[in-house]
Amino acid sequence: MNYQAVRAVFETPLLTAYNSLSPAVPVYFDNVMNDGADSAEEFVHINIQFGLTTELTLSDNPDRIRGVIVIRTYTPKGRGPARNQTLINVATTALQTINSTPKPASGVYVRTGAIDGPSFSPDFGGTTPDQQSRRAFTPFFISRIEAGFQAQVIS
Amino acid sequence: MATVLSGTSGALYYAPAGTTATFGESAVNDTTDVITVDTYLNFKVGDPVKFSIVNTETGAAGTGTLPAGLSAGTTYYVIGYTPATGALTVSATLGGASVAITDNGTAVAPNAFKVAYGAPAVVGSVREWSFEITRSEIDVTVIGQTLGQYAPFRSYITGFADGSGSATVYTTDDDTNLSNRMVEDVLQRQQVGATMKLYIDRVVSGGSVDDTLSRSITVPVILTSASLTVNPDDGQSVEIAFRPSAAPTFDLAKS
Repeated sequence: MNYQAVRAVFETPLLTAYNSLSPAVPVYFDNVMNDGADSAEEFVHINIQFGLTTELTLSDNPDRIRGVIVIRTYTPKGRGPARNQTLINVATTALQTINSTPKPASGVYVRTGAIDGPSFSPDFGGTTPDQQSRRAFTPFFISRIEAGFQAQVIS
Repeated sequence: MATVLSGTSGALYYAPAGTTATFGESAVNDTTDVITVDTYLNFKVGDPVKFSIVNTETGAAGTGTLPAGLSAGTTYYVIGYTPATGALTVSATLGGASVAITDNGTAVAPNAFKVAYGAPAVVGSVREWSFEITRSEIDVTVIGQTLGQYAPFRSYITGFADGSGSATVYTTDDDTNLSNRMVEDVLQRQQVGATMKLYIDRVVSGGSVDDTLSRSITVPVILTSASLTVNPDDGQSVEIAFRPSAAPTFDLAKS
């Protein structure tokens, strides 16, 4: 199973899209250190999880990859939602472009399900005291989109 | 302590439709090595087949001698079949050269030569199968019973047995998967030879299925429908419906 190839289908166009903005917006993927300056005002975080890889049958377990991609954009709090909406729109557009890519004869074919969001909030969400205390100190306005996806690795 | 069998112990094996035929001595050409069987059957290149002699009146084993070059019980592989003419050629090996047939054999009526798909083969990517057997009920209640405190009961005896089944298989990109062929076979005009082997408990010993220890239902079938489901949320699947074309054979004991 080629999880890296599936991740690349999402991460490459998203990274390209955010790098092409002026100024470029840093993108942080899973297990990547935030190496930006402390004063960075905006950035994007992309998380990909694989929920299921195969389909259970009586004879074998054929490949059928399913997962979810979560994209969060961070912009300064207290300056209105416009910049954040602009950034999250870049991700939405990139996902829709992926969805309009024809199925190749070989390689990786990915389709997302319905895109959930964007939802906007000044915090990470959550209702626990710890999460609520973080809300007061978070200097960012955050938007989030989430989409399930299915992928086929075609050989 | 007994152990409940898991659904994962099951399996589905299938012999394709249109893969059984009988033929006489005159159908054997010992010059070209071609055997002419019924037209518009469904032999495909690579199908494993076996030859035998049957009594066409009883369906049981017959008497005679297979054409020289062919042996009863040996697996051969189809290397060519022309539906419009029924011309069939076989090889001793998969994709090999045709078997050299050196005489026409002997099969005096009602005996005939028979060629049939070797044995049901495993169908990949089967999500589930189901099989229901039923008996008809015949009401034999006698009227005019002496009335008493309670209402008289009806009486029944059982009649003919019947059955129906279905199998749901995922559509995969493996063209050799028998599930794909099962779908095509629904529209095969001559479905003779179609057989399902429904394993309730498939036991593998030494790398092959041990049918003594396994539990299964073998049933010759007609395929009555195929329902394809394609949507963006689920894996593509096909539900095949079938009915017995003859009595099933039940092997539900591991001995």
